[in-house]
Amino acid sequence: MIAINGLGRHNSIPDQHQPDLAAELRSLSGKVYRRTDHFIQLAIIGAHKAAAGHELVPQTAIYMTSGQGNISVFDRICDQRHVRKELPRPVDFINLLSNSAGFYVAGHLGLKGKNLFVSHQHFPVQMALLAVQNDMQLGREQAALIGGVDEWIPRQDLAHTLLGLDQTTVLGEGSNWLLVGKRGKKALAHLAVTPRILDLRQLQQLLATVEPGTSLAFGKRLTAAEIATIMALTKGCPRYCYEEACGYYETLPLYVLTRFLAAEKGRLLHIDVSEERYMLMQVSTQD
Amino acid sequence: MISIIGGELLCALGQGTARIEALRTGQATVGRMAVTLNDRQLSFPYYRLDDTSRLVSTALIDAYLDRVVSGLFHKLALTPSDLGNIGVFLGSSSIDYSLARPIEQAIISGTAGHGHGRRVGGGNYADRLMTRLDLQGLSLTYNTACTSSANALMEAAAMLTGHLIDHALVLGLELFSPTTVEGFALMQLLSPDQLRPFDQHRNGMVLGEAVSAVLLSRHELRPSPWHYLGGQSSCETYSVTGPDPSGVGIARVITAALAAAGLVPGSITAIKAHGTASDSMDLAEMRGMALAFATLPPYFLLKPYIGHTLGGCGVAELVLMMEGLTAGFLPGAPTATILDQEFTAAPLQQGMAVAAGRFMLNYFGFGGNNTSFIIEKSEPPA
Repeated sequence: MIAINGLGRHNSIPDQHQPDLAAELRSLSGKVYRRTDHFIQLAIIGAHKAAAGHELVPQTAIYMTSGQGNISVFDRICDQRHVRKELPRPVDFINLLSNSAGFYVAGHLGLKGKNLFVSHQHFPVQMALLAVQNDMQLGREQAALIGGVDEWIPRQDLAHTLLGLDQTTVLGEGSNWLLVGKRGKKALAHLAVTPRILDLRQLQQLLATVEPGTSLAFGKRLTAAEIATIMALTKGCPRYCYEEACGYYETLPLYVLTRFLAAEKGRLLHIDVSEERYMLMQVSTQD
Repeated sequence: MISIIGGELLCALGQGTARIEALRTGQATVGRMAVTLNDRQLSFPYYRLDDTSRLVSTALIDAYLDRVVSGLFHKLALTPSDLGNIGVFLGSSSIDYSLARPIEQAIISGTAGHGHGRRVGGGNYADRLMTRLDLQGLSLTYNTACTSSANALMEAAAMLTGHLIDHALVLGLELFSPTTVEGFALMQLLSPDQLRPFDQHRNGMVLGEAVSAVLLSRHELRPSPWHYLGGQSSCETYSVTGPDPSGVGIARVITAALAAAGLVPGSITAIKAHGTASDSMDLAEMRGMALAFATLPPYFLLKPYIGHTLGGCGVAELVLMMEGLTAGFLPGAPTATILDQEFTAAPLQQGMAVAAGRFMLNYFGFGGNNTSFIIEKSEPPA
């Protein structure tokens, strides 16, 4: 279990165009970041909000995750290569590394610790949190920023294809971050990730142990029937609804946690699914 | 204690005894790769894994990963079913092809491309490998530029230490990408002729391909003289394209890696340098090593044998080092013939007989990524 000390949330459902974040970034940070693109600006904004009001030690680690990373820049490079028959701009080539976003976050916050960009096919947020949880428990890290960053792209048909979703699903973008540390009394909440991927039988066994009153949030890939089945197994636990406030993106679970912790008290169990496999994570403001 | 049970590597240096002989004699085979820049056809030296067409497909990448993993399991007389709770950790600086291909298709055809109704994105290769091998456990994919697979290995070690897994299959993956070659060429970071790390006349990187794997375990799956002692990953923000030329960021990660392994500088037998032959990177590395070590241990280079395999170099160079040491030597690389005047010591020019010791492996990359870890090879039984 790790302590959550700060929250940063940026979430939107763009329409037709990517929002211009440069002005927001300038307003938040008072700085102009040249050579950054939309994905990098998203990352800085979310991390900035999570770190606001906290004195970060320089060794604070960064773990960033994303469903598809900096798609816009790859899209742009492909367009330059295949359609315009032009060479990529060096800045695009450099920013093609999704880890470049971590570089700018570290620079913005004055950090010198570990700076990782990690991915997982099914559960990018949960797996990244698992890595953080392990590092904190081992004492490898004393503090960390963990962020999930996904951008909305104008080419919505392509975005749906990449996500394996039907074309009617409303897509969004977000940059949601937690500042975490060792368990402490001043923490906003504590977080625990179930340290393995579960099958349905294992999920059912765990659900039988959920404490009454725990709110349940479900990943957007769960069907209404699956949610109803799970709710029936949890002895009247209330459902935490967030779905109407956001479009779909892969790192939504971090949005759910930050949204809950910004406004609610109590325990929240987040249940996510991918290809009939499940991962759970729980936050609590009471422990 | 985390053991490295074994490793396997596909690279430009061939296989088996031929590879060891090439390492021993300091000989490598370098081809060339052509790219078109501003209507000019340019050709750069390039270390190709084989002559297979590089119209990369997901199936081709899967085939290389399968080949390297099956080669490793064959060497170790293991099957996937012997490895119950295993993690797969993959490091690569390339964008996942499962993601890249639909985007390219969409651009070329003007349609939405074909996603086959399944989500694609980072983590796809590792997930498919787990499915094909029916491995039970977790996976993570790391993209931290040239430190990707080195970070994958260190994170695997952490998950083993935390008992989240019993075994870890760590993979490094880097295959030819025209975008990558064009990008580095545009930045004038590629040598037109030869890789000469730490040489006064070094003039840039030579890229290469490698697919590599190591199996780590916290159990004695097989007797192994190799152990992971510890390491450190850190970030510096001097420049997105490289470390602070003063070497302070590199010295910091080296010092922290020594501390994480519970070692002092004098206990390092030799250092595997990153040695890209980029002017500023080599300078920063030399200065960083000099700051961290009052007496610099011997250091050696592996990129002259397989090229700079970018995100794959963490595991690829570890396996190559292990193969040399298993044969009783650290390879020399007769490339730095005129040492840069500012440098205090030259890399090994000729092979050095070594039976055992503690070896530091250093990796640095774009995005301010610095990684250093230490491996021990114990004395062979008398």
